[in-house]
Amino acid sequence: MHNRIALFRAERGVSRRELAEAVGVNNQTIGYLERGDYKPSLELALKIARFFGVNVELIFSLTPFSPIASALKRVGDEP
Amino acid sequence: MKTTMKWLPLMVMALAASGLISSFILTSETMGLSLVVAGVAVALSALIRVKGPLRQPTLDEPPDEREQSWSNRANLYAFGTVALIAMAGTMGFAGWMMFAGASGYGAPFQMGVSLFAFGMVLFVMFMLLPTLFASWSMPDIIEDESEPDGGLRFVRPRRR
Repeated sequence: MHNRIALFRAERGVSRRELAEAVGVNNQTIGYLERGDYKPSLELALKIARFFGVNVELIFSLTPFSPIASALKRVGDEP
Repeated sequence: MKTTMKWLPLMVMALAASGLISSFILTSETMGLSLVVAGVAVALSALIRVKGPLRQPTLDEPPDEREQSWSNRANLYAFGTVALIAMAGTMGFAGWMMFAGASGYGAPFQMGVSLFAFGMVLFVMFMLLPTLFASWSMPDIIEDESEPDGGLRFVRPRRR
């Protein structure tokens, strides 16, 4: 499972500890999630998505996310 | 911060095993030394378990889902291994008793001490195998650059 937790966290300026406290887990668990060393439960995935105010598919995916640069380029190329 | 312990549990298990082995070798006058050695291993195993990578849950600080998941896997591995060794040891001691009954080799006192030392070895393994499993299989913790202490201090999760 792939995720964009680190990206969302960096964009919102949220520390691992703040996110961990908000979703009710140990702060180290967020680190393991970001590194892909732990797969979250559905409940935790939904809590993280709710914390960032987005759909869960925007943060978690079964396939690798495309790099931000290529996503921006794609948006820029659209008419 | 909980530390990983990759070699210390192995050394303490070896210490406990040496206590058991010495109970077969030493004479009845010095056999108590075997129990002292195994007893030291028991005390060390309790200390290592507390200091190991698996945080001991309390009512105030319950484990989160990742800690619970690792704990379950580590304990399952440990229970299976301890159960296998206990079965093998039980059969071994039963065989020794049958052999002793037929040949007269092995005093009941020596058997009792060896059995006690074997029980201590099982206890040490029960305490240390989860720590050993977690130490070897858990990925290393990475520091959180956005926190002054690296984000390595345990923070009690909020109950929801």
